[in-house]
Amino acid sequence: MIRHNPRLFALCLAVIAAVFGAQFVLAGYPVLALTRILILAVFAMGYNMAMGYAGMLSLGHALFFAAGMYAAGMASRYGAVGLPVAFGIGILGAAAVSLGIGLLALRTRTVSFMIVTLMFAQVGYLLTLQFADVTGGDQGLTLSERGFALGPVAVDMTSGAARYNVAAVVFSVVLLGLYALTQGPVGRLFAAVRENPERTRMLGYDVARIRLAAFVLSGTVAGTSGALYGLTFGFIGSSFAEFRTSIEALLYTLVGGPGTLLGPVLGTALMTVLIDRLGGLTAAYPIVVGALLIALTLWFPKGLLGTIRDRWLPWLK
Amino acid sequence: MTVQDGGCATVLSIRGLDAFYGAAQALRDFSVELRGGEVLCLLGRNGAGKTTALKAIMGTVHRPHGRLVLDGRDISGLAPEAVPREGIAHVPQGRRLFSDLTVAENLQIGLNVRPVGRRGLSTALALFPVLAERMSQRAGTLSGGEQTMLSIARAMCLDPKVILLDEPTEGLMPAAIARIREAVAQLRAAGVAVLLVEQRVDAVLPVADRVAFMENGTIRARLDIAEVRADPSVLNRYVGLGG
Repeated sequence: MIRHNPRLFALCLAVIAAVFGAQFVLAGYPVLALTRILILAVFAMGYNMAMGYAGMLSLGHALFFAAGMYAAGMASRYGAVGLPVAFGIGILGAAAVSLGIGLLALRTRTVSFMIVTLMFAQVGYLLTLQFADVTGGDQGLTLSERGFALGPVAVDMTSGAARYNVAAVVFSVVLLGLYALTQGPVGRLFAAVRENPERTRMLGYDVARIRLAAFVLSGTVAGTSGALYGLTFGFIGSSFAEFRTSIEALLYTLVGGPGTLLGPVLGTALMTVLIDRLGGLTAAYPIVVGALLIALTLWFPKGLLGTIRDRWLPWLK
Repeated sequence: MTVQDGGCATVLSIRGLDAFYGAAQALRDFSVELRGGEVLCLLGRNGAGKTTALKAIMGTVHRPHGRLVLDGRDISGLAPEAVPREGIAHVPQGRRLFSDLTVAENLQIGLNVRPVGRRGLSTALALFPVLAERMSQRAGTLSGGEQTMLSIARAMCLDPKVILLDEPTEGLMPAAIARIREAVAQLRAAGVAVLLVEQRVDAVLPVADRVAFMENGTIRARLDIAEVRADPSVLNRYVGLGG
């Protein structure tokens, strides 16, 4: 696995080490904020598989995030299963939904694809409102199951440290898993389909299957993030299925660098901290964020890491 | 004038191939036989149907009629992505590389299709040593000649029985043209059947075994290369070009 891109692999390990080490120098709110960043970074990394690597700009990833969140949350609340099982159900639920949506939406391309994915996500959002007696709708549902046993160790999810470490473990597994996928033959194929689908087909590949695989992988990772979010914070709600959630994934990816493994992680961290800080200073923070995004587009047209990759560090992919 | 059958067996037989762009017919009754280790060159003016013929063989244009038999197996009904897996490689006009991927990654994508491809890769790198020196360079940053070499090398990674080359010398310097010509000669020596589309007769004559002239989507004449070499003025009759 390491031989594909040893420098990037070392950087991933350094990021993981920094993530686990951060809890020893941070305390209180920053740990909570970093927990949220780690979970949302998983969402953005998932989104990047479709948008950054395979070139499919989806506006409907809130649906997969919410599918994972609701499948896990409702299994925990109504199914009386433990948190690890509920987490697994969340991942499977997101995989099933992304497969179903992918089979339909991938009949379209470019702008049509964006609109179709947006429409499906809106349908998902409206369904969570329509069946509010089960889903909790706008008000959401709190999850009463807040702990699980890991062998002899009892993990209490009301503890900030436990939440942080669970999020850090899932983040690390997803990061290394996606490293292995994107830096090997699968990543090359995704990039080939993004750059020239017709030529990829003429080299003997079934482009439709590759696109579907990328889409399902992307939706499943996004759903993993949703499941983790719901179970970590003990709350699920319709607001996570809103259009805004899809746009956040797009934003994090664009800022960090589409088609780079660590770009969405950086984008999530930067945007979350920025919005958090600015939101505390002024209610007009979207204007400042907008101006910064325009500046970023001018100087870093391929996102931060994407531009750094193109100019100086080609291995940063 | 027709070409006499040589000693090698027919690898690809195409009979009565028609192709359409919407309602417009771009290829009519296209029929050729390709033997292993021979180079058949399609000549003709712009719009004669040469590129369409290659696309029709690959199945990327609508082709309601015609029969394609590769090594005795009917491949007429195959999906376009299945054709390369059977052993037909296509090097399109304009190279069409994955420009953001490195040279090595472009070649790897070709290698993954057919398990026998490593042999083709060794041959390609021996033929185009410059590629071995630029493995980690992004394909989009190569010169035009190097991009063509990479495009041919990627096709060779499929270890094809038949290779379709669409104007590989277009826009290249003389030194690069000589390299491409050498590659075609090597493919022929390795027993690969080559269908070469060109507009420049001088680029083809040294490597072609047979020449077919296309006009209005159909083959108007077929010549053995010996006849052309003996009397290059014969070309004027068909394309208004001399050797």
